[in-house]
Amino acid sequence: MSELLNVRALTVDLPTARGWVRPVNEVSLRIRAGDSLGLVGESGSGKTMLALALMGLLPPGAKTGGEAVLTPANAEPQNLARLDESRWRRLRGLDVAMIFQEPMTSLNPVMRVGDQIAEAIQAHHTKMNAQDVHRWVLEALRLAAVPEPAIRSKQFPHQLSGGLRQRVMIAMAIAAGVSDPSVETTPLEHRVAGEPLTKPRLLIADEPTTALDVTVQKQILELLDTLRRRLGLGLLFITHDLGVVARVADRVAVMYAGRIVEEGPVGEVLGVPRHPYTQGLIAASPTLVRGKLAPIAGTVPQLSALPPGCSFEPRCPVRLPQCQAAVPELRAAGYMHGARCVLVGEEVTQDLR
Amino acid sequence: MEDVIPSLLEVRALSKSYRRGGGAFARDAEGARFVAVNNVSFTVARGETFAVVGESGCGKTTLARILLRLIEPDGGAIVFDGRELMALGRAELRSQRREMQMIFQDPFASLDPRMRVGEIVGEPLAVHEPKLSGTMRRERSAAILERVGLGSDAMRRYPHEFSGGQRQRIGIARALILRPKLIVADEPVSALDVSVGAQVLLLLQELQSEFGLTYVFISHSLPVVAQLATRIAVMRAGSFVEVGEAEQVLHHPTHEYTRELLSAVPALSGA
Repeated sequence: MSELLNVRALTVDLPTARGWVRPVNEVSLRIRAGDSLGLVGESGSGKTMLALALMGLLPPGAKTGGEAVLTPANAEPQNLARLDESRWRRLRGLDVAMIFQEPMTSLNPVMRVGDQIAEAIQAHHTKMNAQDVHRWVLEALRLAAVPEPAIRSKQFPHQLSGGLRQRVMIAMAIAAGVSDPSVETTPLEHRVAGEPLTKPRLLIADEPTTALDVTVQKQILELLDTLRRRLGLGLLFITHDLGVVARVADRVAVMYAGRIVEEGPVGEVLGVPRHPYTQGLIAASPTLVRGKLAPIAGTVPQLSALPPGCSFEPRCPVRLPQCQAAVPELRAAGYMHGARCVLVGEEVTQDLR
Repeated sequence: MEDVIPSLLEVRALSKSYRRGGGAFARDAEGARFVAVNNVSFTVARGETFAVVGESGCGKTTLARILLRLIEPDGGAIVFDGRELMALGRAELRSQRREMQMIFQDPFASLDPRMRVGEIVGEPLAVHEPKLSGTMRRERSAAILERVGLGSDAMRRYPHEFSGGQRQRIGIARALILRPKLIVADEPVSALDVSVGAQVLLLLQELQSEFGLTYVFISHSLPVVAQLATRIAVMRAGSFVEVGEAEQVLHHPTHEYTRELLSAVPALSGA
């Protein structure tokens, strides 16, 4: 499938009371349509700030550098790092959409969920008549596997369970794309099974299942997996949970103190992790087996006081003198697998992927 | 052969229900009741970790609070260290509480933001050992903070100056300063990052053997529970559906719901 997102050396700088900090530091990523990239990091790693940069939702005063090129099908590539607000308004919700951890805070509590999805559609299809809008609202709910869409669309968020609310958020995120005019030429009932319903779009999911029970989480992860394959979505799935990443992602990027420290196929990175931070994160993740838990010593460094070399060096169990000298380059650690650690093989001069 | 030593905690037929859709605007005051805890019985031996696992709304937090009588049950009995808790008056209950302390999920919400950490940790001493001098109280606060991994400079700082993991350590220090016998821990690591959560779990493990603590450990996460539990109770809709040795429940579950929970745990090795 075609390349959807190409992020090259993206930086985000934020003004704080203690001066400028850089929560996103020369991050490079690629996502193709239909692919799923898991972005793993702990709090303060910069993963959410990266997502906000890709949604044009950075806090006021933030500065971005580098580029993040989004290439929607049949449309000109757009550098998301350099868009003005009027162009963002046309893009956001159509070519790139986001779902959040706690759907209750993103849904309007006093508006029926169907009306909220309709708003998301009308923001991009201003001339669509009410009947069509309603049809696409129901279609979006159906795609998000909401049972009895006609009934649910008339309910308020508080009448829905946490899992259903997250499904409504997903419906809202894909709704404007569902009603892509090029698709409307094929009426619902005549559509061939498996025919893509939307143009390729980027869906950013920021800890979408963290607040949910495990059994509900499993269903939502399955839904996102089905949707990205059926609709050709590029999925950027942000989480702190390596188990969730193993379930939803093809590739995984591990972020620490603003930088991607390891990236590769999910089986490789979780199976043969090469960066000491990734290794530590895996050892610190509880499993059903007792007695193997090993925490990482120390805490995540403050962005305002990053060490000069490798950010993980102060906590690293295998650090060397040269780790303090300079930030390590991304080095090849396997097939399409790289790690930012001096202990890893050869330096990558070319782009990894 | 066994059971010569009486258990530390014995719970018999605890129940608690609430009026469904209650509040001042409830149309039907005599309507159906929501059963949060339904006829739950168990015993906890000294030094063991009894874990209660379940999904949101299963009643596990209500159960935890009933054990300390922070919530009054509708019926049932709680025998703690040979004393019938439900029979205790207010003053007796208060002195009994120094033996049983709680650690909460949210280290951000459970510490008074206007108090210095030294005061927060020393407060239980001021309540239960009022004759202790200020100097002694500060010494004991500093010692317990040291033990949970915080330097003595923590004493004069405020909660907001600490990270989530450090705040949870403050909560643990406060719970431990009276040398309780029982700790009820309600989701103590679920608000923490993975690497920090692992630190806190291992700290709880160390403190247990060092102080001879008994834990009732409440969690939604089977992997977290697997690290500490000697026995596990799986709770659903107010009742225990399965109770057994940790190894048994985790690796040879008998109840369908336990199997469903286990299969929903995302494993690192992939789906």
